[in-house]
Amino acid sequence: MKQYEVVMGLEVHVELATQSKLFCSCSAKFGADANENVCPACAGMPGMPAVTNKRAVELGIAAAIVTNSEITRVMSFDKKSYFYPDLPTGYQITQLYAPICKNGWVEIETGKGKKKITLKQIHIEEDAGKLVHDSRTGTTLVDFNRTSVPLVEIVSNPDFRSAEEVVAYLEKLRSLLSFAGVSDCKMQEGSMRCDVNISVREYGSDTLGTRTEIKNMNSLKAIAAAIEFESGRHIDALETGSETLVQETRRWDDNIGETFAMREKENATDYRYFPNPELMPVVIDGDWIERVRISLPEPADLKFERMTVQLGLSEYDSKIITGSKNLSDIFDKTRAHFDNPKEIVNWIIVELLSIAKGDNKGEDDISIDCEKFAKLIELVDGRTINRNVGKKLLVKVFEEGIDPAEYVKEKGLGLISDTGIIEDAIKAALAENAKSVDEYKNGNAKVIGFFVGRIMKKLGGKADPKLVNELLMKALSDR
Amino acid sequence: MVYLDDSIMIKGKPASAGSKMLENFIAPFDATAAVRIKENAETVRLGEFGLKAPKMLPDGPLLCNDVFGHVRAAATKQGLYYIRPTYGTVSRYGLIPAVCSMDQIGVVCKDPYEGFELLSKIAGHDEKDGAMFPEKHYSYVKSDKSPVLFKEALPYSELYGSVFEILACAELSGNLSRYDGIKFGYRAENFKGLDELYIKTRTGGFGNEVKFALTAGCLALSQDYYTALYEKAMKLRRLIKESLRFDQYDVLVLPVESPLAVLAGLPSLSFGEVQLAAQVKNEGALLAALEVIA
Repeated sequence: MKQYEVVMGLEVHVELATQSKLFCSCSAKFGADANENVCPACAGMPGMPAVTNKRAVELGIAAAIVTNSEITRVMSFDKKSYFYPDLPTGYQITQLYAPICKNGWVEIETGKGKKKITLKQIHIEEDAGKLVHDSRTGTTLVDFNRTSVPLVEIVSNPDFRSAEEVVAYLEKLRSLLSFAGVSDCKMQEGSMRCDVNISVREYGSDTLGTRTEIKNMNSLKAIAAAIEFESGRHIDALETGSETLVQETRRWDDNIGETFAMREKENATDYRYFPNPELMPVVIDGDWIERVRISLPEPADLKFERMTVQLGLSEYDSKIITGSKNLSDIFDKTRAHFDNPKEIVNWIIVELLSIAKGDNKGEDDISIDCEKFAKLIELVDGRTINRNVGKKLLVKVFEEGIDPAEYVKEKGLGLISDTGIIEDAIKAALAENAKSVDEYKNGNAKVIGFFVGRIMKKLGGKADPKLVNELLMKALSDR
Repeated sequence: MVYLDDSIMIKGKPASAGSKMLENFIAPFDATAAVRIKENAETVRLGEFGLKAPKMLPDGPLLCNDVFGHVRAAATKQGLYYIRPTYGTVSRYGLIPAVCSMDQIGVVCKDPYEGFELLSKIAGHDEKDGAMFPEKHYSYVKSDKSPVLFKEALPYSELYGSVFEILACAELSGNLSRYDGIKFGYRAENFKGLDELYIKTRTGGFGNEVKFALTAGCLALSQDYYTALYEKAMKLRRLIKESLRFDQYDVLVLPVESPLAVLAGLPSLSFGEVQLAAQVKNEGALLAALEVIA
């Protein structure tokens, strides 16, 4: 059998984290009711000239910087025309002739080592709306909330040879862009989407095979599965001649696990691109680029280094924290209130993540009041409450947002560290169990645990365990 | 009383741009120009998207966007002035767009000074229009220069019409693609499927002049003709602008039908059979040298 090589290039769409849309002042927030964030401009009505959102350009510059791209000094917008109900103006404003940047690269790491993926360009464009089919009435409805939300499309060269490389690249992009504040990069919410251009050729050949484009994958798992299916289909076609490959766009069906050709018409559109005469070109000067560069937050790899080298945290823990911009932010914000990195990392990884998991929330969806979180960790660390009470309180902080210090005071959950009270309990416990005291004197050290249990029970489980141990040993040796 | 071409929106009033396509469209907000005149205003319906000659212009001052020259021509016939200020000096917020790189609200008037007074109210920067000059106000001054006439052949003048037509139709085709029967405006009845909805709506909603312009515009932008038509016209437009030697003259006298002023974004004034186009270097000197035609 012949050896085949899969060749892939990626088009990754990432929604920019701006407050407002690209050419009007509507909110760009995800999750609003249908058509809540819509004005005459983004509903396609005439009369509102487009005005470029400067913040979107800034985030585009940030994307260019973190992908080592060459920034275009005078960028401009073009119109791409086609009729579809989710595109209210009948044209999408995008960049064809002078995109924001070109010729970047991103370094990835796989089992085979490090590799540079080169980028053709990144351009800024507006998103389209969303069609919702109502099967009850048999009609299709349009939601324009997403219309004109700013995106960047990151176009790579055909540098990928395996699904592993594709996944590593997408994870790297997600890290670079989310840490730079460019986007939250959530695939499930559609703020990061990826189309794969794929072709297969005999190993060693330097010409490319027939290329297809696969769309509609909304998780890394789906992308890997789609690549496996589609490359298998190409190889089958080449091996057996069972079908002739044609250049086309195919849609991944995650339930069936196969790709399907999209309507022929969608493949044959003439988009009639032309420079958008409504918008002035945007001049990006060196000062502006420098201002953006200076304002960029710490990227994940530097943060990882700082956590392991300066803070002395384990590589394993640091990797989990820096694997998510959100966790990383929680770590930083909590540290600002209580500077004990080791404890904070423990509480995030062991407790917070498991509570969130039980609540069906991923790392990026956790939200917690970091000041209260810090207070809670401080209460446990300072032995005002014990760890078990702390865990229970964390659930309440996470779910109800209680103030842990207030709550402990109100409910009397604080540890008893009054030696007089503890000594009284010890005295009583020893008096009630004289037999066990004798056993101890005969050399059975195991009874200590039994005594501690008795004493704790008397004190409602709120005694400082360290202090109980200390005083118990003293009392026993005095006998 | 000031009349407004109904492609300039007054909130709550019909804004049709003279088209069946927008017959039931009620303006959702006020145009900046409508707000700034601060006078009673009434809308009038002119030719569809400026592509058709209006039957009769109103007797009072009229604000309108005349790209294709039909209002200029009609004004001439009725013995009225038409003044078009420099491109980018009057806000197009609330103006139904036709040809973005040439859209500019101008004024038809009996007396040019009345027109200039109106323009001085509406002109000036508006942050809601992303393609404007930064000046907040403009004044239109009278020049005391005595005219010295000289004739000079203008390079490319035989191409003004073609270049204009290609660019105007191409841009129009983009701006009018929003009228598809999906969201507002006219929608055809009895259609099967999406394609038929589009085709029947646009066939029934647009007049012949518009259909012709849209077809020509789409052709100029199509993959097969982009380089030969649109791109070439863009290059010629730049050459035409560069060829205008305003270091040697202040005013150009052109036939009313010439699209040069529109193409080059120049302020112009037409009266009788002639149109005057000038270049403006700074605030306070828009349309100088008017005395030439007094």
